[in-house]
Amino acid sequence: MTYRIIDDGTYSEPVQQALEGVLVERLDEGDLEPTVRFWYRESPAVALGRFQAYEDEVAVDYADHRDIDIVRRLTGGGAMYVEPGAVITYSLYLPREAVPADIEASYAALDQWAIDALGSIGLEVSHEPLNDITHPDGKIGGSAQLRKDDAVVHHTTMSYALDTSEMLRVLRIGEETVSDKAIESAEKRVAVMRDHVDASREAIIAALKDTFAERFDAEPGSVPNEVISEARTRASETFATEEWNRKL
Amino acid sequence: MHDSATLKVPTGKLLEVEVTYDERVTDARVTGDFFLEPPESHAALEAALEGHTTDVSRTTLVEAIQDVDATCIGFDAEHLADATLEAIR
Repeated sequence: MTYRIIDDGTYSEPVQQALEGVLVERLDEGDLEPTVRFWYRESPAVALGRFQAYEDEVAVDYADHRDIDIVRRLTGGGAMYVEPGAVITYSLYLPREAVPADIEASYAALDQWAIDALGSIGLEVSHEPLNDITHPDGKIGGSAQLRKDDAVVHHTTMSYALDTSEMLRVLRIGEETVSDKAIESAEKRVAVMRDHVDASREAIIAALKDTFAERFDAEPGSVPNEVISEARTRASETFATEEWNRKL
Repeated sequence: MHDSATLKVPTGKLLEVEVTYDERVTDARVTGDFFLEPPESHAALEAALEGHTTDVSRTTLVEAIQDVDATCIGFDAEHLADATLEAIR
């Protein structure tokens, strides 16, 4: 099995989330090769878990004031605040037979190459069930999956140099119930790579690509234009609409 | 009446159930940072909580939830039943 490594394309958050659906469907239909894709974003955003309540997770007035896109993902899991250049996000699009059937085992298995890649540059991280990647200092990232009949998308976002104070203003992490002390601990729970390794974001992405290519048969590729235009259509019909993003 | 309950599942996931009810539950909304496969089963999962009288037993609720063709990830039927009962009692 040969994988495509896609490491280009800067898109808005609605288009990014739309691409996830289009790419996993193309693979499911046999029209795409197994792929790993690195994300480049246009602006700060919140990626909400599919089943999360919009108003519970986001400080809506603040996010609107800062012009932050709030986009509901196709995948479950928790809300992530993301900034271009300050997080690393990648997606794996895999045939279902290449993914362990057991969900918990599949998160561990699909995170492992990335954990090893980060280890190779001196970042001590590990998988924490169900879907977290943690550093001794706190959570550094998380993954989420969506399964189709014959394909799985597994996407992961990790903090490289995230502004965690801004994150706490944008996300309502237990806002109503927590004291200042609790907020301090919430902030502590998030670890950012740049505090622990002297490497640029580009160097970390290069290490991820190298480890992936060492472990699996992989060739550079790009997102087909037809897929991008389909994703743009779905973004304007769904992922950029209040109807989808505020449906819960 | 309208009430809600939030349950922190031992897996770390958060489950929130919001219900509208009089003698029976007429509307239920289930939110949180969990996973469901297929995700489209979310509506059926919410529907499984509706129609019950407010004195519904935990067993009945658990069975109704388990009858939904869905894989709950990060919580199970018992967690969802408990959060629902807490909201309506």
